[in-house]
Amino acid sequence: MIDKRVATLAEAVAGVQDGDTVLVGGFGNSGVPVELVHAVLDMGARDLTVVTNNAGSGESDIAALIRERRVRKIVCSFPRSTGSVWFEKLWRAGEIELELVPQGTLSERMRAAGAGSAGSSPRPGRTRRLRTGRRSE
Amino acid sequence: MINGRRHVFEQPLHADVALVKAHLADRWGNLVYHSAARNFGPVMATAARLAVVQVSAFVELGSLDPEAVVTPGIFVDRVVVA
Repeated sequence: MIDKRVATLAEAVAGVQDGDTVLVGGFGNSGVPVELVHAVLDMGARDLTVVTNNAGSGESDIAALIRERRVRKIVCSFPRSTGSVWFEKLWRAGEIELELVPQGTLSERMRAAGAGSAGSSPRPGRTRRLRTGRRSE
Repeated sequence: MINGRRHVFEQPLHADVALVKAHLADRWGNLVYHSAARNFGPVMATAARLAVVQVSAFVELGSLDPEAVVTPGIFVDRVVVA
């Protein structure tokens, strides 16, 4: 019998390891899995690469992970928003790495991974700056 | 070069874990979302080795309209009510 239900948040996030890449849903305050992020915070995993739309705000969820120095790198579209104090503080101190990815590209890169594709070309590279250091043909 | 236009090659973004919030789930992990809170959930569930989902409530198997299921349970590993 297939049963994927688990009883506790701790069971839900069991097995998350130091150095893992973690995708976190949500757009601003909408759809953020707040309780699951706090469960990861409680279990103590560190050196995480977090992939999400916003780099957290206030003191909750993603901002709390950043504040507690659990996030080595964040891959996101909008690092700065109202209340994104912890990201900005660590960024200025050189304590967190940022990979800035446009929102559509972020979504498309995850879609490509899910589809088992080797990559994709989601839009024309129109400017030299966009192409710098990347493969374009 | 595709149809005479240059494109930027983007790498797929694989992950170890996805943390997703949905609205309802059955025990197979079929998911429906609540309005705009859906956002990145469906795509993230497919891109990670382990997809963990928090929902508002569980429902009986068979009670979700198959036409309305957004993320099929095959992409989901664990579901918890939170």
